[in-house]
Amino acid sequence: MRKGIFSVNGRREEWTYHDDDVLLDSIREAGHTEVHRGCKEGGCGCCAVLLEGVLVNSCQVFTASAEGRDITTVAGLGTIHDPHPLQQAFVETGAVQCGFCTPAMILSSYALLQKNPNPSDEEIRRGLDGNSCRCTGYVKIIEAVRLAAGRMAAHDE
Amino acid sequence: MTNERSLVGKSVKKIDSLALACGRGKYTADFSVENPLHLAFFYSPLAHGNILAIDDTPARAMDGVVDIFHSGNTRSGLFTTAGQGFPEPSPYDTRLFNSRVRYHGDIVGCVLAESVIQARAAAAAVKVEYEPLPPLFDPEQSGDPASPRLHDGEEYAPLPVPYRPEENVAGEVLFSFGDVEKGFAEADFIADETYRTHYANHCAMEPHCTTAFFDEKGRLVLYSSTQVPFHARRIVSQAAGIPLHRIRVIKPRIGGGFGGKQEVLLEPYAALAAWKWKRSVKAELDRSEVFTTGRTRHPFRVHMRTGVKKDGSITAIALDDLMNTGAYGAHALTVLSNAGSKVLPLFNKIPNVSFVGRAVYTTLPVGGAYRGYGATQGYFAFNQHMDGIARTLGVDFLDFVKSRHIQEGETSEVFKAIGEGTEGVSQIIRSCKLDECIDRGAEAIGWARLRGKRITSGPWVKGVGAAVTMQGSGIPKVDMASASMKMNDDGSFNLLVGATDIGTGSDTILSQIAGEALAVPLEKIIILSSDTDLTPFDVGAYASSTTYVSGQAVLRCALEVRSRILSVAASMLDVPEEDLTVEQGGRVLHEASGREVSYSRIACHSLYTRNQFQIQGSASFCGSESPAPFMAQFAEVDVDRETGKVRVVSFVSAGDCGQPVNPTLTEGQIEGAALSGIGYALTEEYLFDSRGRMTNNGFWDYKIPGILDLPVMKTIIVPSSEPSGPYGAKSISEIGINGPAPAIANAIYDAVGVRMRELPLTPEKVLRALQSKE
Amino acid sequence: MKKLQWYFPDSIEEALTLLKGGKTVPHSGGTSLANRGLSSVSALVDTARLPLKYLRIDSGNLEIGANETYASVADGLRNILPGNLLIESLGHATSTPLRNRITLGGSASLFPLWSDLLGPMAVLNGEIRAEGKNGGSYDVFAWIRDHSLQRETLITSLFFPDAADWISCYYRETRVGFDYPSFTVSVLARINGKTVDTVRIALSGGLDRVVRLKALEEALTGRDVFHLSSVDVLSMASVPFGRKPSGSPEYLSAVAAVQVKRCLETVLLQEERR
Repeated sequence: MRKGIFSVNGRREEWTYHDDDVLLDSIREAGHTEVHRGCKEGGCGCCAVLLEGVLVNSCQVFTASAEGRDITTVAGLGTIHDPHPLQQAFVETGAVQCGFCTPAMILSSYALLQKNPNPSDEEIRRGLDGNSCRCTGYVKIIEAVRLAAGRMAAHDE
Repeated sequence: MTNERSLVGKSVKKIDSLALACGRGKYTADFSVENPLHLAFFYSPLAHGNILAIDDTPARAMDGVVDIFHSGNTRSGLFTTAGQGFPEPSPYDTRLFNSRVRYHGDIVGCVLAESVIQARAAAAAVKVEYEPLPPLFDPEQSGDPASPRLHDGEEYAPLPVPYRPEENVAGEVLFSFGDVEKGFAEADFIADETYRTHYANHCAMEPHCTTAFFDEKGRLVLYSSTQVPFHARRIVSQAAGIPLHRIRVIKPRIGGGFGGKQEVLLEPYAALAAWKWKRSVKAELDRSEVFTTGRTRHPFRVHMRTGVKKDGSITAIALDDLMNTGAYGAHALTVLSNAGSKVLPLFNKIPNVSFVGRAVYTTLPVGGAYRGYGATQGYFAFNQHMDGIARTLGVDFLDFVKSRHIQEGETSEVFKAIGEGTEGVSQIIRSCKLDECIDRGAEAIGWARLRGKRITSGPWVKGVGAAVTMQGSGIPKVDMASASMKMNDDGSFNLLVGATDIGTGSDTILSQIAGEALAVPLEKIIILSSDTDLTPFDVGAYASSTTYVSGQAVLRCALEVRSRILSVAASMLDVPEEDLTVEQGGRVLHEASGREVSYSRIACHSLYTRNQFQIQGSASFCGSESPAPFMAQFAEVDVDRETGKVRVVSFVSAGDCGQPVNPTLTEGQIEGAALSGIGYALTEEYLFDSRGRMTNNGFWDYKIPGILDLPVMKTIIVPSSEPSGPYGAKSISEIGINGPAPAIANAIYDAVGVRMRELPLTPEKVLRALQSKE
Repeated sequence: MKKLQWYFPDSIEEALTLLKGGKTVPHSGGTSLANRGLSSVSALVDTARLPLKYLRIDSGNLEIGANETYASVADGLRNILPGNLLIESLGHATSTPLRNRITLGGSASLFPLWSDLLGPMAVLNGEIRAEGKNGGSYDVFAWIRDHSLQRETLITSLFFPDAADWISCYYRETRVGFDYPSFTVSVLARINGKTVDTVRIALSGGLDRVVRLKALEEALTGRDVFHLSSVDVLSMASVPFGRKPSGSPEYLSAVAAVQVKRCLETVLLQEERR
């Protein structure tokens, strides 16, 4: 067993975990159940988090290698009382159905817009290519990212 | 009250979506319970065999192991995992722990341990000795006397339906009207074709999960990722031998179902283990287990013969379906029935019709409910078959369909003939805007510009194809839903429904229906679904029933509450009830005097002032018919003649679901179903090795379409009004998955002239077809 | 749960010392180890703190530090070597979150399924540079032939001599957009007027994992670009395949040859037909 300090959504946490644990299991164990387990093989993207601001599949990252790092989950972007424009846009466009892929989908969108505030549809697709959704057919997800990008750009002006 | 609707027909925000987008939605695996034990299964490594001995001694000695359950130590009765009404139309042909294994991946037993890792390690250490038995992989050989019989014990069908395990027949549907042979004799030509469809998986993003714990009264509470909480409670009681009143099933947020969670798979095991050890238990499948131990779409062989006269009239149609139900008969009879009952009524003017359907056992994964439910398989054959006949006649496919499909005011003999384990229900179609769906869809895809033009760019050739389908709205005279509602001090309402939102948005649309009936804004409806302790019964989320059946229950319930409100208001205002109207925003108005009273005053009056009582209501609904939604779907594809690759460029769905309660959610259902159907058509398949083991049980090799694969997707809602539906609504959740495979196959034919009769339409198959054509 | 020692060295020397002996392996992104499991491993040497994150271009020679990820290489090269084959191959391999995590060093040590690195290395004459017990510079063919080279050895960079100024074409065969390729085709060429100065063609995914199609290269080199039409590319590009989930050996072999032909047409005749 190991003990380590992790920063989740800006808060310092101490976790106890096994040497071979992956971040997905550890972060859920620590109560961050908004990180979802869909396949545990990097194939669905439901477990994506931002590690030092970079989008990764948390099932593909060993916990030990993330010690001391900043981790952001969807709960770190906004809350139901003060949602992030992306969270708002997903709600408004109908991009949320069962919602299981949604936290990771929003984080992917966030990572994309950080790098590229005004993405084309093709760039949106590329940015979200590791996140599977079985409910929506992605149409409204693309619409949501477009909507949020527009609003965030307007806000920055 | 004006006719202008305030909520129905409006794209209000899905009520749980903000919580889900902010990571606040809790799914079954997210609940922390006190000191849980964990369950891990061990499975058959053989397609078929008898268990001779199970040695669990070394596994029991491993760290953290609490118990191990298997046929050697745990007796369990026959039941079905199919989450259907009672008694189920599926045979009782399995036990929690069978002493005979019938497919590679069949559950042999499970380990209960302090951690998941310990449970899995011990599960791998249980030694099982088998007597191998011959496998049966080919459904065509299931009736062969030389083939093994998979169920030759006490298995039985709890309903009086055809069940002949001695012939490996898990279900049978026979029906005809007119004289098919005479019809064929009158025909100028007979189109005679065989189509084959394949295994597929639902791939809901959330794997199946159950979390069991005890409440302070010692009752067993199950959080479960289920589409059918009430069936789950009943089946847990039956299979695990726990009194039903000691069980509470709570459905939290569900990460998609598509039929895969209409199966009561994990709940009985988690309940059994928790009940024995009086501790919390968590059971969660990993993705590979979802593929092999979860349920699948039943593969079909569809043999279709149609007699046609030169003038284009169809004289007879004969459908002979062979369905592979795998090792157990979950949903066997009913999926099979739907392959006829949802398909044949579409061309209702054919005078001579026969349907012979047989569901047979094999030593392969188990079929189950899957969005489309047999109609998907049937329509793959039907639409290509009819496209071919139209081409033979030299008629445009769309014109061919328009002059033959069922219309408003018409019926079909099939409705009465084929039910779901019972006789069907006769009905007249009272809303059908399929012609408009066809016209608007054709316009959107560019039918006139593309059809038959074979526009070529290098090796790529363009084609366009269409498919038309219908489905139902619940199972008539079988599916029952109920709702209850009470009024609060401020004029808000608690709405309790058994209807099970699995991500579809049913909590939202049922709230819209209630809010519409009571003329209050959406936030005044506080909905809770579904909890077997709190909410009234509902069969659950399946058979395209929620909007129509549960919606009617909610509407009736809300109207009942409304009449109580009016009666209290009448006594408050001292005027006759019939002079009062309910006004938007929650007011009751006496128009003649201009006096009005708000809902909150009415509520407070009834709660605190005089003749006190709780304004409340409850209602149930069981449909006496199952109005069909209709859809026309269109695919524009490019086919690479040198590699066989098929690229779906554009896809259009135009559907009639009556009055859409929430157009955005309606579009979402269609778009999701359409893309899922495209995956089913092109890339999703179960690959087996020679021993019947699935070799691609993960997302790296079972390929579902991702965001990069999305074609230009257009969705058209053609409104109609279904007189029997709540505010004119019909269903929409399933139908959109039926059209993509045949529309794409018809488009491939349009592009390169090969008829693809076997799913999936992989590049290799297309290339082989092209080469054998040359 | 398994007992594992984790080390986080700051220098290459320290890392090499730690790698000595038995079952210690380097860890960078961890994506392969996470899926493959750690049953044969007793200690991991994390490379994150090593100074192996760099992209250097020096008179046409490109050197990429082992800790660069697929995503960072594709992004970095867009600025310093626009049009380079690695931008297309690594920038579209697998998925965004995996591209952010898979490092070149990790990929070169394992060549996992989604390696879109193999073909480009073969045509770019890429070298794997390593330090430690088997330190040195290896071409890709030598490296993948002998897995024991990796014992007690740390990949430090990938080196691509003469990496600039190529016309290139890359093709990855996938079933859906997010997939590992069942084969890849890499073509590089330099054309002088209408004459093919140099052409290099690699096919990955066959039984030999990656092959340079030397006979085809020779048939085209020094000739007019239009000579392509008189070369029987389909038979010269036919290599044996095993069965894969995406198709039979015969099918994959045939369509790989078709894609080689198309890549050549794209590069030599500037035709875009993919």
